[in-house]
Amino acid sequence: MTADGHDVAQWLPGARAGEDKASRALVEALYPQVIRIVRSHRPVRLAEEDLAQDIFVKLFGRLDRYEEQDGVPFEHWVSRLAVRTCLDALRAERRRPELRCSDLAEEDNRWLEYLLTETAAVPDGPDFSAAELVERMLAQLSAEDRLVIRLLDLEQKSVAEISQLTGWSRPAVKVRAFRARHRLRKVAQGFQEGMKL
Amino acid sequence: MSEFDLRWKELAGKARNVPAAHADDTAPSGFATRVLARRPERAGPATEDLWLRWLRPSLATMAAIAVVLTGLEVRASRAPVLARPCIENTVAQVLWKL
Repeated sequence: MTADGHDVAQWLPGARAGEDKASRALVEALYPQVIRIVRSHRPVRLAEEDLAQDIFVKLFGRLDRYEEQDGVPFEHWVSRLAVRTCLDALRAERRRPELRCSDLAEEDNRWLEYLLTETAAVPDGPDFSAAELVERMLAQLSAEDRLVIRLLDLEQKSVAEISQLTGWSRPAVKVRAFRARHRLRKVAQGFQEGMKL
Repeated sequence: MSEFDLRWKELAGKARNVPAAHADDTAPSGFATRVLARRPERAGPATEDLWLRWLRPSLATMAAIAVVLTGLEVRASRAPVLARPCIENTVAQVLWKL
């Protein structure tokens, strides 16, 4: 059982018993894993350190519930806790205001045209404009839709991995991804209609 | 997969090419201290744990009491009924003797 090369198992009993030294070592070992999840899935307006702290506080509160014999490695259990906490934070965040066409750069508009026009070729623009458009589109989705698209299309995780991380069943992940892409299309159409006005 | 889905995948692929901004993955100074300060106190056993802990002895005690009471009841039912004073007979016998 390792988290970025650290043997986490040795600190679990101490952390469970409330020992400071073991608890600190556990935090230091798990921080890289947790912060990577936070950076991918945190709400825009929430500082990553604050969210990471919330995750660790939850972790210590629930440490007694983790049992190795469940067959779930401790790192997976932590990842799931981190993803679920991020999802709760995303749900709590208010939906961001509707994007106006004037907010989109020219490069973003080319990608938008590529998305919605079957004859359009892949734009030559820089990749960061594609990344920017993706972020702007994802920001218009619900927390669950945003999470599933990010995990599936941006982090390229399998349906089984997403199921394990979120606690959703595999069919539920597939259905949610299908619906989320449908909503993305609506978002793209909304952006394009805004451009025409 | 629809045409839009294919094009979305292409766009997402381009977005993945953007290198993540370099960020340090090590915990910032004092982070563990701040977490431990917010760590919930180790509470006593939860209510359900207390229930589970006391459930078995409580059931055993109740069962023992039930067995004792049943035994007493059976014993009481088998005991000869106390003869009532046969007032009529006594009176008749006295009268007979007279």
